[in-house]
Amino acid sequence: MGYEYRSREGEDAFTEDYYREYESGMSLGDARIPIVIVVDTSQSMNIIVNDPSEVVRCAGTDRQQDGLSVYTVRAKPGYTLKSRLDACREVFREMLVRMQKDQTLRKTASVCIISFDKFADCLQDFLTVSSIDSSITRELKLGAPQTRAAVGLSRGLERLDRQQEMMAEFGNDSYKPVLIFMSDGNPTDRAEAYRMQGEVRKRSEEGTLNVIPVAIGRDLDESFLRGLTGDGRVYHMTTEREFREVFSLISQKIRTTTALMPADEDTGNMAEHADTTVPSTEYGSDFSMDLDDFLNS
Amino acid sequence: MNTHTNQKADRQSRPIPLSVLVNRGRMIFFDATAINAAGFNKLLMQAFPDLKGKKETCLFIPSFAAAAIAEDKKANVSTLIRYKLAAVLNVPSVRDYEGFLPLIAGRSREKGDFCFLVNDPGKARSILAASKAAGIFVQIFMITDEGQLTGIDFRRKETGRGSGPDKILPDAFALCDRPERMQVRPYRSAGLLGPGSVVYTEDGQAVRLMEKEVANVNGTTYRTASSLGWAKIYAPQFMNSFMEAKIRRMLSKPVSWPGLCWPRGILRDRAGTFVGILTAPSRGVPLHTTIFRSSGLEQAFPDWDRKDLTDLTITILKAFNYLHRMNILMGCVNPASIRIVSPGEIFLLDTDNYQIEGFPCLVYNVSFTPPELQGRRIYLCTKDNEDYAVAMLVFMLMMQGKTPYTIDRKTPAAKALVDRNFPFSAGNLKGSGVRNAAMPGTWRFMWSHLTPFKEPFYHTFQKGARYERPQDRLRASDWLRTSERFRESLERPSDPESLRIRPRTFKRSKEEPFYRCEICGVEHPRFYFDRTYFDEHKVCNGCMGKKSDKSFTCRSCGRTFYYTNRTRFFHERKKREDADWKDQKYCRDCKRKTEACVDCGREFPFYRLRNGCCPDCGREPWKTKRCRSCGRTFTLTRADYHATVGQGKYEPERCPDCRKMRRGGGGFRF
Repeated sequence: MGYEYRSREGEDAFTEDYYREYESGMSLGDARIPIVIVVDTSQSMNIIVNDPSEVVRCAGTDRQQDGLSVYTVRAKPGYTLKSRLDACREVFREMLVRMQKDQTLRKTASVCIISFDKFADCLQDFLTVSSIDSSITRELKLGAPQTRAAVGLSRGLERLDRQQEMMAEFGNDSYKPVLIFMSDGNPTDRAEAYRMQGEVRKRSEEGTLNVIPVAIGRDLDESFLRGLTGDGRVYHMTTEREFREVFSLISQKIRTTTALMPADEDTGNMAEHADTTVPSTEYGSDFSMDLDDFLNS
Repeated sequence: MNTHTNQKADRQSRPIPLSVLVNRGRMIFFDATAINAAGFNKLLMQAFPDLKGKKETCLFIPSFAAAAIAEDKKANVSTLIRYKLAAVLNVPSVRDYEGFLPLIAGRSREKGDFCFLVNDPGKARSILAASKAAGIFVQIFMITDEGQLTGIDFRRKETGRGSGPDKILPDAFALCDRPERMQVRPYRSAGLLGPGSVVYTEDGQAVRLMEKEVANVNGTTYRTASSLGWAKIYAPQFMNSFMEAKIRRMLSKPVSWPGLCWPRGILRDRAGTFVGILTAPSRGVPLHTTIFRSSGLEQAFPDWDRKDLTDLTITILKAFNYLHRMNILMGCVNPASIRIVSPGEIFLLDTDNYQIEGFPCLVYNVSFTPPELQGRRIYLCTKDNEDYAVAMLVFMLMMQGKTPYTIDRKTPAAKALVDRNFPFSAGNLKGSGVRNAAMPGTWRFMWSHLTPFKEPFYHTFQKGARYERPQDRLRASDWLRTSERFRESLERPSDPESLRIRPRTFKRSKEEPFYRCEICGVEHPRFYFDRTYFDEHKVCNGCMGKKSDKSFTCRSCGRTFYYTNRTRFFHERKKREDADWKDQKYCRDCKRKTEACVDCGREFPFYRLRNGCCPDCGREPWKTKRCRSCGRTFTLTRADYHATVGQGKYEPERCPDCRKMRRGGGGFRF
């Protein structure tokens, strides 16, 4: 009730990054895969991800924060404290670096970065991966002690829609977009968050959106994250090694979505070549396993 | 004077006897192709009574056409001449209709009295062009086998299938509609093969594998130390009796075309197991990463223009034409296996994937699969099926990698191929996927310069259009003719912008005035300018959406936002109309960061709240007090309440001025 923002004429103002994509889309016409990364930067992301054996609990520090019961720890000698956000920044950076090294993705993927706590902020408008400075991860800073997942998801979807609409106006192809949602899974705006969760799952089930929920932290309630996709799949990150494994998988998933020909994004049989430096003439599916039936039916 | 029109052709598609023209007093000119036609004798026999009654000769044969009359028709023609029913027009200095029409133009008494009988569409077109140049109206007919006259549909002949099927070559393979019946027996190689391994030809020659050159799902191709060629070693699932039998079938016929990497022989491991093939070496860059991508083309062939691209298309189509005349079908067109060296030199790799007789292609992709075969995993395709893939390839070559259907959030690829909403128009033919043609975009510019291709592409890819049925599709030879015509037109283009691979604007036409955009400096047609601001600013639609130099910095987040040019002009206009028009202070994102007022509960942008109170509630009086310092009464508002008591602090005891002084803001008051 009360105030509801309505876009008015005369407010079409955008960042420099937006215009870079606009000019590129208009003049080059290249197909793009839009990827929006929505990152939880609420206070709960300050929780440590170290193994319990690496830390010492500080007595008398129990309290409530961002909907959780928390306490303070210090690192044992020889160990460094690492928060969820620290770990998130590291792998986030690594994901960007890997995307930039990938010959297909660096020119095809456009990435937008949204952070959210009480409000959502767009840290980076859509920009081709090759143009993104990986130091953008330093912009991920701890925010307010509220996790309003609805505003984060809503802003992410809105940016995706805007980007795709721009591409459509130019007549450019746009591959199935990707939404990567990184959170510790405890939204404080329950009703709104679950409403947006339903919207995201609907798009995932319709096949118009690839959703990759990433759970950050230990002992999480993953029900919210599971509800984002039809198959309930959630990626986990509790140690550094897992971070790297999962983001490698995510990069691969994004790569197989980015087919050389746009219509092949759903082929499931693309072979992986151990040697990726050798030029390939392959794309599309191989049906040699069905050959016997075909020849003798 | 008008020339023969397509509407006229429609009316004349109904066969008429020659006597109709004779009785109307037409002057009838015979081309040799009409005289040599099967129905020529019947035509004369049917018209003979009317011809006999004519006082003046009305059948004419230009001398350059008479020279091409077939031997078996000369006797009949001589008879006609002897009885003065026909005459040869002696024009020794003229060799074609281009020179002939101006000579006879003066003899035209009324519109349409010149009738040409010609059974060759190419000749018919040249007569039409010559009559247009000479400024006279002609009618053109062809002779049917039944000896009747029928009009020529220039549209269909211009863009439709050429008459008759493509000529099959003597050594061609058979075209099969049933697969080769056989059991697929897997083979197992004696060991893992890779660089350094040795394999053997069928006559026992050793071939050492060197560096990997190309890889794909069914194998890896290696450079070898042998002059016999390169070696393709199959992946385990492809080492089987099927592939061996297929390769043997491929080797049974002499297949040769420049750049076609046909198998040269079978390779075996030391145990004699079939492991792969010898193939020709290849070079060049892949089609799909260069020609189909602007950055790739810029890198690989920075100096290319539209002529080069068209030459490349012609080279590829000639290869297709040859394959089809050998009854070899690709089965699944794969741009990744086409390598480009220059516009005239290409290499076709992975020919072992092609469909040969009853041996199907085993790789599949959605993009090049025709609608009638979508969803089928393995199949034996027909030439009609493959014609769709050829058309798709030509489209992607001419449109630099763009597919015929726009894929977006609402229309994923699979749906696009079912809906077939073509996003371009061809004259009055508007594709069902057309968005606003005045919107910016390189594809719209590119399309406007592809005049000879527009109708064929429209009729091929638009659902419900003329070439939708497989049997109606244009063949590779038809696309080749269109490409060659287009290439000819590029030698003297009516618009120099047509020579660019990526034209900067639409193709010029005589009807549409062009204006120069004051930002990009390119001349565009009138419809590509925003009519709202056209009188003040000649800025094209593309530049309207670009960044202007007008910006503001959000007071909340501190980021700087730039207006589009269109919005800048909007602000300028508003300021002229309304002196109170204010500059923007907050960005859209910050305006949507709302919080509820602690008093009334309404949502407001957070920057409008003071101590949690909205402007309305914040101004509401809470209580009146007397200042402890100066003694004057002052009013505390709801905002003051939430700033103090609401946060667990004490109520202020002094008025705002005295509080300010106590904080160091000035001297004492009494």
